[in-house]
Amino acid sequence: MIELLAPAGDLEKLKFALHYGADAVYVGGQNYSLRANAKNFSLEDLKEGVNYAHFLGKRVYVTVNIVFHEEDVFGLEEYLKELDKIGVDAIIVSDLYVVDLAHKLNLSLEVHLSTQASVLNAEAALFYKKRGVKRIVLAREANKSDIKSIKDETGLDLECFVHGAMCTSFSGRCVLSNVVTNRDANRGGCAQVCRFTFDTPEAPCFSMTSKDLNMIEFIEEMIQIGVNSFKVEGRMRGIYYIATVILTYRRLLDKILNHSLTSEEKEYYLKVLNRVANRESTPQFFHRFPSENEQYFLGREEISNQDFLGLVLDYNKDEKKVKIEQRNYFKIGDIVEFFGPNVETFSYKIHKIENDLGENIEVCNHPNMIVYLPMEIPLEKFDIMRVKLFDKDRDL
Amino acid sequence: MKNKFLIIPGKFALEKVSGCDFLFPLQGFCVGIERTFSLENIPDSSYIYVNRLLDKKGIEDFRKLLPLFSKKVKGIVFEDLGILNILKENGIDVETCFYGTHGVCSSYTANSLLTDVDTVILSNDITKEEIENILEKVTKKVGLFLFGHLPYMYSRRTLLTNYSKHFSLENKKKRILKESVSKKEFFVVEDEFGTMFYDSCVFDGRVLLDKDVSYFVIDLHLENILNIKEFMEDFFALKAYPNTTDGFLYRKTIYRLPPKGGVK
Repeated sequence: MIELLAPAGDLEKLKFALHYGADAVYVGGQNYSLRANAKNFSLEDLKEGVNYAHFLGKRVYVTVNIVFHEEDVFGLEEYLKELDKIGVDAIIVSDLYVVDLAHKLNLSLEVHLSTQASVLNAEAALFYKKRGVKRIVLAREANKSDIKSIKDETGLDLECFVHGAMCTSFSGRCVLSNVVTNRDANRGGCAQVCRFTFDTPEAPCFSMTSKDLNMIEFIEEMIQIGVNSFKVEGRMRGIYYIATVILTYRRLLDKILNHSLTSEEKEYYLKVLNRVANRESTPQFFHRFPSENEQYFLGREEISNQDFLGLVLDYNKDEKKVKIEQRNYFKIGDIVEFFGPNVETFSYKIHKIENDLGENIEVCNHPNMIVYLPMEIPLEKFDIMRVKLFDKDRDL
Repeated sequence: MKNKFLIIPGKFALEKVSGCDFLFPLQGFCVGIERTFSLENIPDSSYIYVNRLLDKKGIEDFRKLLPLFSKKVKGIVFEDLGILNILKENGIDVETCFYGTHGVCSSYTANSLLTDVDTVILSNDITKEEIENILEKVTKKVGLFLFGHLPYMYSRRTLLTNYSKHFSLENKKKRILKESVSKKEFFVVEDEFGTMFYDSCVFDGRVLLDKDVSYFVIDLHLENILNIKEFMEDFFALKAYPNTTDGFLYRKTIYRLPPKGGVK
């Protein structure tokens, strides 16, 4: 089983992730999740999300991965029972108490061990296997040899992060946020102090911001050594990022699995991923020990991406018009691209824009305004219009 | 004294202190600790400390030490649960103490762990009230970090080397860093296994001395103490120690931010 696992910060992102090719999504509930200040899912949202995913033959995992303090345990048992009743496929946990509780309650859902537990070796994995864990999300610090030995010696399902932001520390082994900002990192309040700067007696200030993770170069090897689930980080990311990254990995995985991936295509996918990211990315620990080249040294170096121009809401095949909700400025004469889960990426020159009163306009400059473009190629809800990224059209 | 004290050594001579044992950081298996000891060079029936998360090679190296355990090791304090699995699989009977640094913040978690280990050290980022609450509910005695620089972050990366290389500076393995906004200072120590951030102040938890615990851990590896006996006399006499902090004992952390515009 090879699974592409996407983050979903809310119901809309869940739908985008699944439509763009994720086999499963991981989400946080209103409590017990490490993104305490994200929108997250109410139980009603979860129910809808699970039904939606199951209808598509896909899976939903819920993070219950905080380190529990005495006061946090209140309500946990009922919550887990409710998740099970809703049909959630797995919970992702780091606290051994939750592992034990899930089994004591005899729940149907699987228990996956969070990367917060920082499993790096087969012996630790076997410890958790004996406690009933079905899958382990490995520490991002695990290299190829570590991963292979864990797979060979345990037979467990292995989930590895392949894309997105990295902690500077081992996940779960940091309370800098607690110290500097009083926000508890291991209960979802992390203020990302590892992206702050530090003064030293010597001139240049110290910083340790990690570049992002990007495993596109090594996905094939990861499949060969037995990784089952390829996980993208980013429950706080927007739908454009989710759609672009998930579609890219979907197409990459499919081409690897049917032995049709060319080096040219891989290079193109890498360019697309680099374009959508707000930081540089590298494979980090998989193939060699990361050096100064895998970090930033001058604090945050993040770029705001404004490629996302509009979201397709509907297509009128009689009038051959596409209805679009604006996300960034565009105008007559711009050359843009459309992409989506069921359409080959294509370029398009904007020669006419109608507003929702049917009037022709020159520019589309109001956030979320509804406009119509003439369109010969049928599009679908969830398709996306973006800035034309590269000169050469490709299958993305 | 009803409790047992485990002292992580500093630079001082290792003189026996009544009621205390040394907790020897095991060479090759600790990170961010300069003075480490090989199994061959510690007294028989000692307590050893492994604070690294072990990769495949680390586990292989650890297995090689097992023949010496019955003679040399009375107890082991460790962070990586893989160690526990190895000890059990090999039928090695030593006192086992899990010290997850930040991972044991409730009696529920402690009790889950205590089904497999003899004791655990509670996390060092919980309040005194939380500690007292946990101590009432645990199924076996648990331990507390009592004194020393609190470890706040453990990275696999060699962050000081990377910084020195990037800016072409002298490669120091210890630095004092001050977070630019809060001005909070950290001692940072690096070795081949990674980088540890410690509080630059010394956590003094002697207010917890009356608790009934398995072990009190006293970590002196960053202190310039020359005579351990004199230090411990002063310690038990509750003499003041310079540059101390009470850590999180009276400081409860939050994790949900108030809504924008404040709480109504």
